Amino acid sequence: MAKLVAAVGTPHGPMLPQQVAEAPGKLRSEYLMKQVREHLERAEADLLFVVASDHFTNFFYNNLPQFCVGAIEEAEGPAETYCVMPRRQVKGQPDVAKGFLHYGLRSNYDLAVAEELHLDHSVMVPLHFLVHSTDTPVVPLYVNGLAPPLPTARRCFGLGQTLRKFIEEWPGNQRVALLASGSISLEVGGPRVGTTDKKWVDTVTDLLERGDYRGLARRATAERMAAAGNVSGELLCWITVTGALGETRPSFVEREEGSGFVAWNLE
Amino acid sequence: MSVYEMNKLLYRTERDEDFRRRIQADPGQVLLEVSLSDEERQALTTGDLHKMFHMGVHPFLLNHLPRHGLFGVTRENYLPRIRGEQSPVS
Repeated sequence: MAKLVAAVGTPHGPMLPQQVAEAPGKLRSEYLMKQVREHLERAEADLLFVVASDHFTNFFYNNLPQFCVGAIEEAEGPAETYCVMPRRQVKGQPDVAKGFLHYGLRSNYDLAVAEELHLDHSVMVPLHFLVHSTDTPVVPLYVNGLAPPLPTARRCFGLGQTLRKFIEEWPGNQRVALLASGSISLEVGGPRVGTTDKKWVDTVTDLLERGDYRGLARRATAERMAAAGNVSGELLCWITVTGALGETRPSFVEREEGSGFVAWNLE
Repeated sequence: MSVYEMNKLLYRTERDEDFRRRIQADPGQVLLEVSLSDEERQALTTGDLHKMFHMGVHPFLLNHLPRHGLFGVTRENYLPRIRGEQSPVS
C-alpha cells in the first residue's frame, strides 16, 4: 500500500521567484522555502499531491469546479504573464489521480477531473522552490479558494480525510507527500491591498502548531476568511491537507507576513 | 447586469494573447464586440475601479488592467481609484 510520509505548506507569491533571482540570499521567504524543502527532501517522497487554488488560469465563471483533480500525463507552467520564472514541464500520475477520482465519488466527494491543465503559479511557485527534481510526479488537486462562493472548511477537511484513506488503500508502494499552497491573509487587487490580518495569521498558525485542525476548520468560516483578505480562502487548501494529518503536529512552523511556512513529518 | 462579461473581458486579456493585443491596440473596437451595458462600458473605459469593484467584478481580474496598460489604470493610481479616493478621468 502507498504511504503518506510528509506534508508541507507554503505561500506562492507569483513575484517571489523573480525577487529571489534578483537578490539571492536576501529574502526571508527564500530562506523559509529552503527550510521547508529540506523537510520535504528528507521524506524522500516519490509522489506529490499539490493542493492549490487555480487563479482563473484553467477555470473561469463559465465552468468553475469547487474541487478538481488533475489526471495529467504532463503539464507546463506557469502560464501567467505576471509570474516570471523558468517554465517547466511537470510529470503527472494519472492512474493515481483517476484512482482518487473514483475513490472520491464512492466517498461522497463528487470531484471534477481535468486531463489537461496549464499549471498556474499556485502550483509552479512552490514546485520551483521545493522540488528541484522533475522526476517526482505531481497530482494537482484544485480547491476553489478564490471565486466565492467557496466550499466550506468542513468539506475541505473531509476531503483531506478521504485523501488519507485513499492513499493508505492505494495498491502501490508510493511514498506520498502533500503540499498546501496558499496564503492565510492576503488581498490581491482589492481596496485592502497591503494590509495583513495579523490576528488571523496568529490564530491559524497557533492552531496548526497545536495540531488543532478541527478547531481551525471550525473557525475558518467564509466570513472570517473574507475578513482576512479577498484571497484568504486559499486557507482551504491548507485545511484540506490538515484533514489528512490525523493528530500529527507540525515539526516546523514559521510566519512571514500573511503566510505560513509549515512542514509535517508523518513517519 | 453583465458582470460576467466584464470578468470575461479581463480574464481574456490575461489568458488570450491575440485578444490582449487587439484590446491594447483598439480598445474601442473590442468593446463594440462585447455585450456590456452603457454603465459598464463607461466604468471600464474611464478605468473606474471603484465602480467596477462595487458592481461585483473580481478584484483579482481588475488587477489585469494595470498589468496590461488598459483604460488609464496604472500601478500608481490603482489603489486610490479602487478605494474611491481619486476620480477616474471621464
